[in-house]
Amino acid sequence: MQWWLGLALLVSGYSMARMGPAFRRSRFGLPLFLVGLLLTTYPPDGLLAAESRASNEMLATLEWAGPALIGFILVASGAPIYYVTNKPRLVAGWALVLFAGYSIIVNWSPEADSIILGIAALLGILITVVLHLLAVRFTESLSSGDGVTEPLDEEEIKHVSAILSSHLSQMEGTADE
Amino acid sequence: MSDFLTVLFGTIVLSSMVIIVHLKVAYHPYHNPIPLIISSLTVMLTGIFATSLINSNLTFLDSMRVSVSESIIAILGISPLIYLAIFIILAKVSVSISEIDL
Repeated sequence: MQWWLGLALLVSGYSMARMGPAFRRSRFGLPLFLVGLLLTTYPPDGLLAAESRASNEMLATLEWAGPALIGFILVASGAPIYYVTNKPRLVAGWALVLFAGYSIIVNWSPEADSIILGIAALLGILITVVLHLLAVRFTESLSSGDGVTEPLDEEEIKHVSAILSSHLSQMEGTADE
Repeated sequence: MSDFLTVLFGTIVLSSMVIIVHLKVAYHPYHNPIPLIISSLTVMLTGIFATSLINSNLTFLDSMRVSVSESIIAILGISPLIYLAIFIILAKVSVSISEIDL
């Protein structure tokens, strides 16, 4: 049960971290994700053999996926944006990414079986995504179209103004630098 | 073939679970997730039923646990390819001809 709860927290943490600033749940994303990771990689006894193997596989993957993820974030934030580069971040990011790549080369030995099962997994994801998109399309077709949108109420105006002024002050701060 | 189908349906179950959890935790007042949750639940239950047919020696719950775990292993097995794809994208992004260094 703990292992499955960990998986659910892992997904929940990722989903919450992706939430925009208008919904302040995003700050819970990373802690939830880390708790989920801890529960899934260090599970209690009593798991099925397949669950134990999955848990071990996750732990082994973390050895390169951890540095790779941090490296990717650093590279993405240090890469040229409007012709401005942050070289220290870029270099540190690429060092981590290359370390992860080296770790993959040393440890990863794909066999025909695992490739075939990988194809099955990709096919499963593809089928689910297509079915989900069809469901989204169907749901949207049910929408009656409410005509003229209601204006924002006082609370929403305050909320949108706060977000806009926060973004504008950030942009001004960056331009001053 | 049995392993292939176990992973295929296990991934369908896992992906549906991920969609349901995502819809629930990323809920906001301007979104009606109920039809999508119902459709994902239907897909997930179909997947669980299919895995229980393949692994008829296991109980309903155990066949789901095994198939989802096997699908996680299969996804992790090809995850270096995801690394490679992101590596190529970021390598392209990192290279720029004219730039102002900080």
